[in-house]
Amino acid sequence: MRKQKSNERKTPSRYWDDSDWAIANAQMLSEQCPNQWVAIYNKKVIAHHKELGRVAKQAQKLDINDPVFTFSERGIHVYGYSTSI
Amino acid sequence: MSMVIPLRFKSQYDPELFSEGVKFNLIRLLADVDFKALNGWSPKYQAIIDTGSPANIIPQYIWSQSINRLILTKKFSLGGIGEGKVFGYLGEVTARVLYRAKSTKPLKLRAFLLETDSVPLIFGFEDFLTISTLLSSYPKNLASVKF
Repeated sequence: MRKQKSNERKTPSRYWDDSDWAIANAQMLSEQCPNQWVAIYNKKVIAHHKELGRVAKQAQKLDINDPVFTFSERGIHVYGYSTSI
Repeated sequence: MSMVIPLRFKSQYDPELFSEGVKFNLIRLLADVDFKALNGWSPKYQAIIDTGSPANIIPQYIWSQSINRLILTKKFSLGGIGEGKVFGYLGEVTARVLYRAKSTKPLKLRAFLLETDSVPLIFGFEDFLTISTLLSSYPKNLASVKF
């Protein structure tokens, strides 16, 4: 069977290193960027704000590929849902 | 063929409790995910895997940059413990869970598409944990989700 050609770009190993770094440094991130979205690239915080859209736009301006986006919680949050109109 | 994607624990302590002399770990189970977009796949985001959430919850920026379909046009308010509320619509997106060279096939997920951007991305039960097998052992630092 002929292998189908994929146009999809492979995720660089740097992304996974940054993803691991964000997890390993969660304490520091929660103190510096409490309850904010954070963009990380090359093991550095390149943008942070409570609104993800602002963080993504700041990261886009830097013309980089595959930053890690993560939400940095501070304190105890219990998320759930109950719908109402 | 099934696919097992490793998940990771994020652990930090609560600074307010720590200042009172109590070390209390705040632990989350995380997955890296992306979403089908018009030009391929979105950037990747770290999502909280939350067995306490009956639904998937997606911040506005993520779903607005992804291919999505509204299931209901009626707006719902979502509340958790306490008085905080957010508003959103029930919709559908297509996502993948990834870790290094591993990726799930595209998953069609119903989710609440929020009007706000200042909340985390949460994958809960309906259409995510209901179609997968979750393994979680914090003592062994071992977690995965199998589709």
